[in-house]
Amino acid sequence: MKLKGYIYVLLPIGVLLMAFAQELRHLHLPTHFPAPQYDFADNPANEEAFQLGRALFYDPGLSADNSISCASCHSPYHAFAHTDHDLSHGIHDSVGTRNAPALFNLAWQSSFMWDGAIQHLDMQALAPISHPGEMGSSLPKVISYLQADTRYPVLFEAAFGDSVISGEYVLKALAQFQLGLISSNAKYDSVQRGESNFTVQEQSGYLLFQQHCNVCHTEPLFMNNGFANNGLSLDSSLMDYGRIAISQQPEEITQRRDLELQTILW
Amino acid sequence: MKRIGLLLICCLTFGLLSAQRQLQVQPVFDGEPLVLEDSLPTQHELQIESLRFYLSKFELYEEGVLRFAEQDSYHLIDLEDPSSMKITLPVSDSLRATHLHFQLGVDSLTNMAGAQGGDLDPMHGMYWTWQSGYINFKLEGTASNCPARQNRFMYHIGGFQAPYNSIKQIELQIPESGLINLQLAVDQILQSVDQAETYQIMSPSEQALEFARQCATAFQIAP
Repeated sequence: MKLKGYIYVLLPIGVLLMAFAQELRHLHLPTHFPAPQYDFADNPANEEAFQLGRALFYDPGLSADNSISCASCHSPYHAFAHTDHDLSHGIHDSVGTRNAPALFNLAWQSSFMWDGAIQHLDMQALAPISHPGEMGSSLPKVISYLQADTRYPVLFEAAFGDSVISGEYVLKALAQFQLGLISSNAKYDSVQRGESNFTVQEQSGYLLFQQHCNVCHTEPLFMNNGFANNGLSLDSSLMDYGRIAISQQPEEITQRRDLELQTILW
Repeated sequence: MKRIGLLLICCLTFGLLSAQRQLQVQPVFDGEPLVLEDSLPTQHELQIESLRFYLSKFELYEEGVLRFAEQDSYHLIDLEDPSSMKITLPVSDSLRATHLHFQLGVDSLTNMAGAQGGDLDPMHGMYWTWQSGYINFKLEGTASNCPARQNRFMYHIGGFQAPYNSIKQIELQIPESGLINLQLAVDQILQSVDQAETYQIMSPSEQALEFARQCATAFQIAP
C-alpha cells in the first residue's frame, strides 16, 4: 500500500518536471532588443518544432508542382530574401507583383507583408502557400501531403505530441523556425553590448543616422513597425498602391513598410 | 464500501446525463430545412452549394442575469456536416434560462492571435490567406440571374477591425428547458441582396457589414 501511494505522488511530479524541461529550451533573445511582439505562450520555443519548421521551410513539396519551397524566395544565402530579381517568382515561372522581403527579427514585428496585411506571424505562411503565382497550393493540400509522407508524422509527434497533422501545427512549426532567424551580430550590436567601439567615421555616420534616419529606421531593430511613402513615383507597369489596399485609408496610398536595415552588407 | 462505490457511480452517471442542454442549428429556406444543391423555390433558379459560419461565445441568461458562459466557445457550423450543427452546452437541467446570447463570427482578439486548433484551425478554409482575419459567414451558390462566371455568387463575410467590424451580437428568447431550435432563415438573407447586382463580397467593406446585419436578423428560435 505504501509503495503504491508513493507512485501516485512521484508520477505526476515526474511528468511535470519533464514538461518543464521542454520549456527551458527557449530562444536566446538579444538583451539590447525590446520585448518581442510575438506571444510565445501560445507557441513555446522548442527544438523539435524549430527543426520541423526548418524541414517544412525547405520542402518544395508544399507547392502545387513540387518546385517552390519557402526558401525559393526567402533564400538562406541572402538574408532569406530574393535577390537578383526586382519581383519574386513562383510556380510555372509566374512573376509576382512584389519582392519577397528578407526574414529576420520577425519576433519584433507587429504586422507582416509589405502592406501589413497579416497581423500575426503564424498566419503569414498562408499567403504564399495559397497564392496561385507563388506556391499555388492550400493548407488542406499541404496537410494531405505531409500526412502521407513517412517522415513528417513522426516529426509532428515529437514537436507537438500529435502525429495527426493540423493546420495549427504546420503554421506554428513554420513560425518557430522563422522566429529563430535572429540577427544581432552586426558591428552596431557589438557596440551596443559594449564589446567594441565605432571608428571615427562610423561614429560620424551613426550621429547623422540618428538625426535623419532614426524616425523610420528606429534603433535597435532599425524599423518602427510603421509604414511610409518614400517619395518614389508609382511604377506604371505595376500600379501597386501599397497599404491602401489593406487599410483603405487614402493617406496610406503607396505606403510600404519601413524596412529593417540590418546586415545590409551581405 | 462496495455499495457506496456503486451509489457514487450511479449518481455520477445520472449527473453527467442530465448536465447538458442541446442546441440544434437549422438553416431553413421558406420554413423547410435547407438542403445543399437542391433547386430552391425562387423566382430565379437558385441553389446553395456551401453554407458555413462561426457561432461563438454562447451564454445563457435568466432574466438579465448571466447563468452560464461556454468556455472556448467557437463552433464552425457547416451545412455539409450535420454533426457540426448540434451543440451541447454543459449545464445542469435545473438551470432556468430565458435568453440565449451568442456571436455570429470570431471576436477581434482571436483574429489577432496566432494559429489555433479545432474549429478555429485555418485548414477549414474559413481564414483569409491574403490578409489576416476569419471569414465569419460563407455562403456560395448559383442563381440564374447572377452574371458572374458559372452564375456563381460568393459571399465571404469577414472583417474584425473598424470601420468594417462585421462580428454580430445576437440575443434571442428561448424556452426554459428542452432542445433549443436555432433556425437561420437563409431565404431572408438572400432576399436582402440582389444576386444580379451584388454577387461577390470577398473582403471587409460596407457591403460585408450590411450582409452581416441581415444574417444576424435571420436567426430565430423555433418552437
